Amino acid sequence: MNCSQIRSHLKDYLDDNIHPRLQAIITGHLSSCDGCSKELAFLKTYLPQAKDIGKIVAPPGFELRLRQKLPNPSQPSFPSRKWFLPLPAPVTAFVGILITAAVIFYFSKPYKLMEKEQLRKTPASASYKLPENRPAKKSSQKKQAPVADSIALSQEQAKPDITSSRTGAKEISRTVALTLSLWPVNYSDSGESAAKTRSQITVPELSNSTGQSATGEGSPRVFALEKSEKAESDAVYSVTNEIRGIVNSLGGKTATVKKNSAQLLIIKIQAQQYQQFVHAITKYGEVKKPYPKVNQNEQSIEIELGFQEGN
Amino acid sequence: MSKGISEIMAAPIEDHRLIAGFLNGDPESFNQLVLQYKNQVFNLCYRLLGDVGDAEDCAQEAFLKVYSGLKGFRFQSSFKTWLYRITVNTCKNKIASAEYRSRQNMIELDKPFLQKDDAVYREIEDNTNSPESLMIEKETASVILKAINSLPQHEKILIVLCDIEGNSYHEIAAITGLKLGTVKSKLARARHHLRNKLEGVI
Repeated sequence: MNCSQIRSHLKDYLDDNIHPRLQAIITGHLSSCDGCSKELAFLKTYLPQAKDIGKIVAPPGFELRLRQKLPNPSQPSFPSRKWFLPLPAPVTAFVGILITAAVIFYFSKPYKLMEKEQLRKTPASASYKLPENRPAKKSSQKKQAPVADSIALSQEQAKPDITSSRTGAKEISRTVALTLSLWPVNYSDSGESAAKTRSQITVPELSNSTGQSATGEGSPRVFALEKSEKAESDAVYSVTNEIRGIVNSLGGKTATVKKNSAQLLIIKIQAQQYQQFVHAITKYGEVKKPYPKVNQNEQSIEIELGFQEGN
Repeated sequence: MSKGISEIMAAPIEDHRLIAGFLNGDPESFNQLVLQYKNQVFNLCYRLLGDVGDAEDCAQEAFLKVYSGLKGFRFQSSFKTWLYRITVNTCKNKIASAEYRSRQNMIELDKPFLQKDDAVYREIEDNTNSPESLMIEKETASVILKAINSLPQHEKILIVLCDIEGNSYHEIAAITGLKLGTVKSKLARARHHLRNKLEGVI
């Protein structure tokens, strides 16, 4: 045995709490090892004094303060044990599953059916209005906008003039809270109506922003924003025109559509300009949800904006 | 002697009876457990933290954890070992907390520090409100305590559990989760460090 092994047994050796054979080995080692002998001498003095350091008692009122911190058994936390305990575990589990299923059913299927029904009843009524003071330019290269049949975005809108656009807009008479919540919509340019396209709103797939949507390979993504309840108000109209001007200044195109009494502004903008656009529109309000990532290789992004007038 | 052994043997049985009573809805059983162990738990906390206020906070937190965790007690181990494990872990968390560390780094103007051999000494010690002043009268014991406090945390825990609290190697292994051989070797190393610090005193 080496010194460190011997020293790990020294306390037991002192306490005489050791096998006689090991005791003999340690005694033999101590007779020849000065370091371990000194260690033993130290322990002989140190251990009794360490034990004498004394015990400190808890301060008065310790139990009282502890009792105040303990949860009161007379006020059980919800869900009450009394309410749940009489039920056997399988019954509790079954009831839990039923409640979960009901909640999921309520928030998913009926909602989707209701929305589809509404969309079916609402014809696609998208239309594009040119900014009032914008000189209408004819372009030889016309392109069908992929958003919907009824939305024809002309190439001339891609040449913006923010000044003329802004002068045509009404002045913002009061503060407008712009609630932006972007989410991607899988877009198909196979001739589906705008309303039907918008019904394909899905959860954002931020990492999958390569422009390869599920329904149309290589087709641009469409982002939808919340609809406005007071689309006809002056304030919303002013903001619409302001944003339209920003889009035009960045080389984008705009069109307006109405959906369920909400006015939606459909924007087609180059991917490279997207971040700049988002930065520009933040001055109209706080953007509460994170922006989707935009792949710079993507040719363009289409966005729908909706506004909600603040108080 | 035989009475002492019988008391030691009876302690786990009594503890288990109180735990069973608490689990059957008798809150007084938990109060009995607190009364039985409050001084030991507080003493352990105080030895590890070195401050009465922190020790009381930690001791109460440990009892609260025991209160909420007693339902999971499996009666396969000693309640004392289980309680000590919770207490040691609570103290470790306290020591690791940012608030505690920042407080340790603060130097009070009226109590300048002198650092010598990794030990922290105060030039002016005000022990009027400290339980230490009531309990430690011997100068040597005071120096030993300072030397123990200057040890690294893992060595300090072992020394306090073994040499001050008087737990056996087996109990310390159960409290700390270390193997028995590791406990022995680490304790031997910690005592060797103490010996170096206390050279000339002992």
